[in-house]
Amino acid sequence: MIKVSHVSKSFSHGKNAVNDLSFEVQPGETLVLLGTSGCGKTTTLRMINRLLIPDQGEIFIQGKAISSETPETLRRNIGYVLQNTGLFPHYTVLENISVVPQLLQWDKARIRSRALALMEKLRLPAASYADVYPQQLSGGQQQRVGLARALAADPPILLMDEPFGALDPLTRISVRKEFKLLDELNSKTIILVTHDVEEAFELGSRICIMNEGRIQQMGTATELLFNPANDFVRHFLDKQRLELELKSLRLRDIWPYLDETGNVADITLSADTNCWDTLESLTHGKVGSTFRGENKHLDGNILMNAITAYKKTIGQHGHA
Amino acid sequence: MDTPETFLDFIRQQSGKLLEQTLTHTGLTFISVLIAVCIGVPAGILISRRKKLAGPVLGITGILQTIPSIALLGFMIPLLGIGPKPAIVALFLYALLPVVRNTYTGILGVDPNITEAATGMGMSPRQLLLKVQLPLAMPVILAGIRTATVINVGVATLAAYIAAGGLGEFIFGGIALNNTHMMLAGAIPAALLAILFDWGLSRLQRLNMRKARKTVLVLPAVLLLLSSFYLLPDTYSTRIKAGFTPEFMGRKDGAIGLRNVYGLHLRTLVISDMIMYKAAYGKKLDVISGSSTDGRVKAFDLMVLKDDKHIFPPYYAAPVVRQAVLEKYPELAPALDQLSGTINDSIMTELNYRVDYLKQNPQQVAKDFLVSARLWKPARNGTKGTIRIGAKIFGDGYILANMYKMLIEGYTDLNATTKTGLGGTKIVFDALVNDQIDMYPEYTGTGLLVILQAPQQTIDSIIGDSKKVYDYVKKGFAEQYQVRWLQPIGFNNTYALMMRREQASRLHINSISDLAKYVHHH
Repeated sequence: MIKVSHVSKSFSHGKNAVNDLSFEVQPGETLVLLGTSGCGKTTTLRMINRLLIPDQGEIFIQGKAISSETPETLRRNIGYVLQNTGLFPHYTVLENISVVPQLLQWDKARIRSRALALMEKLRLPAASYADVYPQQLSGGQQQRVGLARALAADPPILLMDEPFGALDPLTRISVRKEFKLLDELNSKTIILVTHDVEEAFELGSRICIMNEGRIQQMGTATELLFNPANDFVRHFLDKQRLELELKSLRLRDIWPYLDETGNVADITLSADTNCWDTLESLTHGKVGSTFRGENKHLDGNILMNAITAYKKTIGQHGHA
Repeated sequence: MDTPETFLDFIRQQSGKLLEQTLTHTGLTFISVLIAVCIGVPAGILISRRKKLAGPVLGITGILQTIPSIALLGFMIPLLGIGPKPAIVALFLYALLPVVRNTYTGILGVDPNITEAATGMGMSPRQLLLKVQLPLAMPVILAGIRTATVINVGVATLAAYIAAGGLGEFIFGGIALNNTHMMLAGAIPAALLAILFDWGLSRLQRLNMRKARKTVLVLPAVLLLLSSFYLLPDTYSTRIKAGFTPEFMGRKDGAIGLRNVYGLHLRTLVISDMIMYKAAYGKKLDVISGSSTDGRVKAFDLMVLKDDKHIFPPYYAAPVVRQAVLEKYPELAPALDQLSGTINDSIMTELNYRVDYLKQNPQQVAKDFLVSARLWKPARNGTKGTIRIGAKIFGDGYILANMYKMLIEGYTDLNATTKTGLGGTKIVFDALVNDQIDMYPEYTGTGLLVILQAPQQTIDSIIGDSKKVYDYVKKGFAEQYQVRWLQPIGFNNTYALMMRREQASRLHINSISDLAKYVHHH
C-alpha cells in the first residue's frame, strides 16, 4: 500500500533528519513509528503527504510515486490527524469535519449526512455539537473531531502524528480504547507516530523503532520484545518490559508450555486473551481456556512458568 | 456677516457647509483607506509569503509614516497639483503602514498547527489564504484598518491646506480669524467622526470573531459606500480658478467683500498660504489671496490687482507692546520707534523675498537692513531685563522680530529673546495678553477686524483712511487690553488679489473690477 524507498532528508539545523529509510506498509495494517523526539519519525510522516520533500529516494502509494501527482490531490486522499488537532477555530464542528469533502466538491447533502454519521460514531451527538466551535470542546472531544475530519472523505490511508499526545493520561487511555474499537478504522492503512511505547504496543500491528534517522528494528510486538535487533531496541523497551511482555503474549502463544492443573475454572477466557488480562482475572479466581479443542485450567504459577519457558525457548531458537 | 452669537447659531447658519465638509471629510478618509486596503492587504499577504521582502516593504511604509503630514502634502503638489488628488494620495500613504503591517503580522500570527492541518488536508495555497489565513488574521487586519482610519480622520483636516476641503476649512479658518465657534465647528465633528468610525470598526471586529467570512464581504462594501461621499462639488464653469486661505474665506475684507462689493463669483478652493503662491505659479490656480508684501509675489512674478473699490483695509505694521512693560522700561519705546518710516512696501517685499525665496537667514536679513539704514549697533549685553518678542509664522514677523531684538540690545541695557512661529493672530495675541510675550508686530487691519471686531458701521466709516484705523486700534487696545501700539513701520501688508503677470496682461486685467467683468462674461 505504502512503500518508502531509500528516503533521506536533512535540515540545516541538523535535527529531525532521516537517513536512507525504507519500509513497506501493507493494506489494513497499522504501522507505528516509535522513537524519541528528534529521531525523524514525524519527518518521515510529513514526507508521505508531501508536507516535506525528500532529498533523496521515493515514496510510492499503491505503486504510484507520490511526486507524480499534485500535492493537493495526494493530500485529499490521505487522512491527517495532528497532535494539537489543528482544528479551525472559526469553523463549527460540523464545518471542520466537512472540510475535505468540500475540497473534493461532494454535494452538500452528502457532505452533511457523512459528517453527521461520523459524529454519531465518535459519540459527538449532532444535536449538541454540530454548531459548537472547537474552543468549547474538551481536549478528548477536540481530538475526536480531528479524527472525524481526517476520516470524513473515507481516505484509504490515515497518517496520525502523536494523535493522543496532547491529552491527559486518563483521557488518552479512554480515547485510545475508542479508537481501537472504531470500525471505520478497520480497513484503513494507518501510519501512527508516537513516542509512547505503551501506545505503540497497544495500537500497532507492526512497530518501527527509529533512532537518529534510521530504523533500528521493525516488527511485531513479540518480535521486538523477544528478539531485539540491537542494544538500542532492548534498552528502549527495558523500562516497561514486563508489562509489555504480559500484554503482548496471548494464551495461545504460550499454550504448549501451560501445565494442566485439573481444577475447576471460575472464569473461562478466550485463547486470544493476553497474559496481563489473564493475570488480572486470576486475582478473581480460577481461570480456564480452550485452544484447538483442548481445555486447560491455570493458576498464577502455571502462567508465569509457561512465560519463562516460552522466553527460554525463543531465546535459544529465535522463534517459539 | 456678523459673528454669530453662540456656537449653535453658528452651526445653524453654516449647517449646509458643515454637512458638505463632513461628507467630504468622511469621503477623503475612506477613499484613502479603501485604496490602502486594496494595496496594503495584498502587499501584506505578499510579504508574509516572501519574507525577504518584508523588511524593505515595512521599512518604506514606516518611513512614509514618519514624514510630517503637512510636508507630505507639500511634496504631493509638484507631482499632483492641488485638490483632492494629492490629499488622497498623501492620506493613502499614511494609511498604508498600519494596513500592511497588521496584515503581515495577522497572517504570521495564525497558529502554525492550523495552517499545517489545512495544507495537510489538501488545501491549495489560495484556499489556505481565503479559508484559513485571512479569516483568522481578520481581527488583526481590522485593527490595522481602524488605526489607519483614525489617523486619517486627523490628517484629513490638513487637506484643507491644499484645497481638498474637509473639516480643516473650519478649523484653520477659525484659528486664523480668532473665531472659536468656527474652530469648534470643525474640530468637534472631526473628533466625533474619529470616535464614530473607531467604534463602528470595533463593532465589526467583534462581530467577526464568529462570522469572519461574512466580514470579508461586508468591509469593502462599507468602505466603498463611505468613500462615495467624496463627490467633488464642481458647479462653477468658469475657467478662472481661485485659491483663498481659510482666513480670507471668512473675512469681511476677504471673499465676502469680493462677492458683495465687486460681485465676483469665482470657483474657489480653500488652500494654505504656504503653498498658494506656488500653486498660482504652477498654473494650478489663477487668482489667489496673497499679502501685498510677500516675497513670493516677486519670486513668482505675480501681479497684484488694484483694489479699485477699496475693500481691503489698511494693514500697517507696528509693534504692539504691553503697557506694563513700557512703563517699567521707558527706554524701550524710543528704541523700537527708530524703525518707524524706514520700510516701505517694496523694501518689505524685497526682504521677504530674501527670506522666503532665497532662503537667507531672517537674522542676517534683519541685520543687513539695519546696517544699511545705519541703525545697527553691537549688542550691549545689558542685564537690566528681558523683553520677549513674539511673531506670527509669516515672513514679516520673523524679520521684524529680529530687527527689534537688535534694536533693543543695541540701544538699551535690556536683553531680548524671540519667540517666532506663534501660529496665527489668535495664538500670538493670547500669548501677549497672558504675559507669555511682551510685544509683537501686528497689523492695524487685523487689530480692527480680528481682535477688536469693530462693529460694521465703524469699519465702514474709517476703513478708507489708514490714520483713522491706526487711531481706532490704538485707543481700543489701550482701553481693552492695556496694550500700546507704537509708531507704524511704514509698509502696508494688506490683502491683495493677485494673478500671474503673464495671464493678467493677456486677459487685460489690472484691477479687481476687470477681473469681475471678465468672469462675468466668460
